[in-house]
Amino acid sequence: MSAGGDTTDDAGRTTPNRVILLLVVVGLAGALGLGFVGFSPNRILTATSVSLWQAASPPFLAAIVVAFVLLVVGAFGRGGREATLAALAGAILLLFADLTATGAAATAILHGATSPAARVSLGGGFWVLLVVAFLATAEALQRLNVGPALRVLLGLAIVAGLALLASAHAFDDLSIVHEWANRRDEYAQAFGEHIRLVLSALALSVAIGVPLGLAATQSAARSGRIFTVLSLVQTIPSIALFGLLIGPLTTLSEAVPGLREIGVRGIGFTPALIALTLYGLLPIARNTETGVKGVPVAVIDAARGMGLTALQVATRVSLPLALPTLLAGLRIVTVQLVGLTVVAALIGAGGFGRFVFLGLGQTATDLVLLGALSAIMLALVADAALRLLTLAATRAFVA
Amino acid sequence: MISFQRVTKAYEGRRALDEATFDVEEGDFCIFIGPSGAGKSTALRLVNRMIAPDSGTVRVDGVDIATLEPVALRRRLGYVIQSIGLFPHWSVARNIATVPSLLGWPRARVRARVDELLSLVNLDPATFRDRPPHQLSGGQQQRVGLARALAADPPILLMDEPFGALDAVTRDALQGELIRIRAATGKTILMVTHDIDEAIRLGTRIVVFENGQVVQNARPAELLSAPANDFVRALIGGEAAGLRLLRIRRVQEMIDPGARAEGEPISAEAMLDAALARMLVSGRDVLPVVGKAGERLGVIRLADLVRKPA
Repeated sequence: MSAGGDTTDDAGRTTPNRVILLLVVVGLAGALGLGFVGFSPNRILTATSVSLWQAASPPFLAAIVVAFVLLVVGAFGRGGREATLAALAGAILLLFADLTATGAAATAILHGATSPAARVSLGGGFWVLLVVAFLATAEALQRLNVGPALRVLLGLAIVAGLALLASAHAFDDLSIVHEWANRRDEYAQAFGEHIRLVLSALALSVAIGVPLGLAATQSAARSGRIFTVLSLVQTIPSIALFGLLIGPLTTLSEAVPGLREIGVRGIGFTPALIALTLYGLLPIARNTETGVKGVPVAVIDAARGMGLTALQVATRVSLPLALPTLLAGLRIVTVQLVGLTVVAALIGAGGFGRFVFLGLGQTATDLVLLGALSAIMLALVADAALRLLTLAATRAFVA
Repeated sequence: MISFQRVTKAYEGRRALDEATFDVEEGDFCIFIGPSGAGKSTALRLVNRMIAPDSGTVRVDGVDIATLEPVALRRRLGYVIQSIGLFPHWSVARNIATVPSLLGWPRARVRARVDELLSLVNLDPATFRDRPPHQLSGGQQQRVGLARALAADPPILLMDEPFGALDAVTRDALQGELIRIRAATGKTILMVTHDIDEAIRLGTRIVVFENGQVVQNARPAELLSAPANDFVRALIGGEAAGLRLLRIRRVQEMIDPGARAEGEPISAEAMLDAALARMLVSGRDVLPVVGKAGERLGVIRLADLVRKPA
């Protein structure tokens, strides 16, 4: 029984779902107490906040109220499936109502504004409702005992719905979308750079980390040496590591002819790739070691005894059986690298980080937000995709 | 067929196998027996080069195996271990097909062979072919392990305590299966066990290990009637060894063909211990003996049970 779940007390009364109840209270407080959107005459000036009831038109307000009613019904329901489904519906409705209400509010406010430089940004109330909607969805899914595949499907459906709304220009007037619209080409380039860096670093991490992990399974002493070094790398702050690589790589590219022509320089892609790969090695190598060590000794003994070569034992037995653990490591590294790549923009490697640092320089919060949110979304999508892959691999090999 | 010449293998200075010398002939069911750490498993694993000897030579079919490629050697030797070691990510069929697939057999031949082997180990092919190993009981898993070892029809089967982890009833059934399969396939089998009853029931030759040395290498009857030293005497159960002798001889060896007797008849195929048990229960000292078709073959007397075989 989960904490905060519907429980029957000694007197036989059912108690409400405290998690959803708490979320409702927090959501209401945020929606009423904080500004829903912010308005400013231009993108640099601090915004003045606009409350929910001033910003949102009646249909959106009604949708938000209905969402809260559904959540309260879900919280006070007797823990039955219907009640939890009501809570789930409420949570998803809140998500969509929150997002579309801000989009519509932005359109309405800008319509009445005099200057084309005027901006409508996302306010505290919006964020509170968004987080409440997200957490309530998670709680309802938890109570409904929904499997991981269905969760990902639901996530995809929500993303598809939002994409549909976006393509129908529902969010066009939000300042963050303005920032994106003004930099479409740069955004596409940053997206490409980000993906390229993450995928290259992932490939290198796997190419080096898996053999390292396999080597670590051979002896405890070797395992100790390998992981001492890899753990040490993890302790270096990312900014420091990116910076530290500039000097040696500059010297190297100047000393060795031809390196500069293939793109090896002190700043940019090469040092970023090296640093990211170094960070990726530990989880990959560790999970390879753990996965392979988890393969029963008898299975390996039987495989060798039947005349499989060392390579066949590794590729047909050890690695397939270690695959779920390996993929879990890959997922951790992917999410980690998507985040770290933001910092790589500091040394000129590009990616979504370029908006973050540009925005910091211009004190343009929305630009920072654009870069950060993009990286977060990318991490979430990669996480979900790899979760599904892990699930499929686990089913295929262990079921 | 398999010959050990002064083979020594030490682990951290302790000799697991100490100048072991013995021969196993083609068609033998050879049992390696002894307490834990006596060297019996070491000896078995030397045959398929899972471990390498420190000195001495192991020959298979007259060839020093040190000169052979381990992978090629192992594919000629079936290998069955106590913990079975089925590949959990492969179906029963794919497990059995491991070596044939490595040898590049055509698919149709592999499939036919898998079904043939499942039938041989008494598992219905249609039921078990596509099951993952974890859905099988321990006994069923070891049947699959045996089928997998027999897949490429190796002339020699190496078995390292194959029934050690099974319950008594399952073990008894699988021992019976193994006797039947050996009769049907004519394999030379090397099996490690620490169970003297299993050794006597299955073996045609028993090699006794003590502290890495071979202390006796004999036929079961010889081992029971003439143990080489006190260790072997204790192993075969001291005085109880006499009773074990009854388990390796059949009623048909002791029949008096002319005579007739009253009472429930006993099969000529039965072991002498069954005949003795029947006499004890029925209170008779003579039993009629019948053949497979129920025909009367004669009688067996209590006095015959204690007679030394000719």
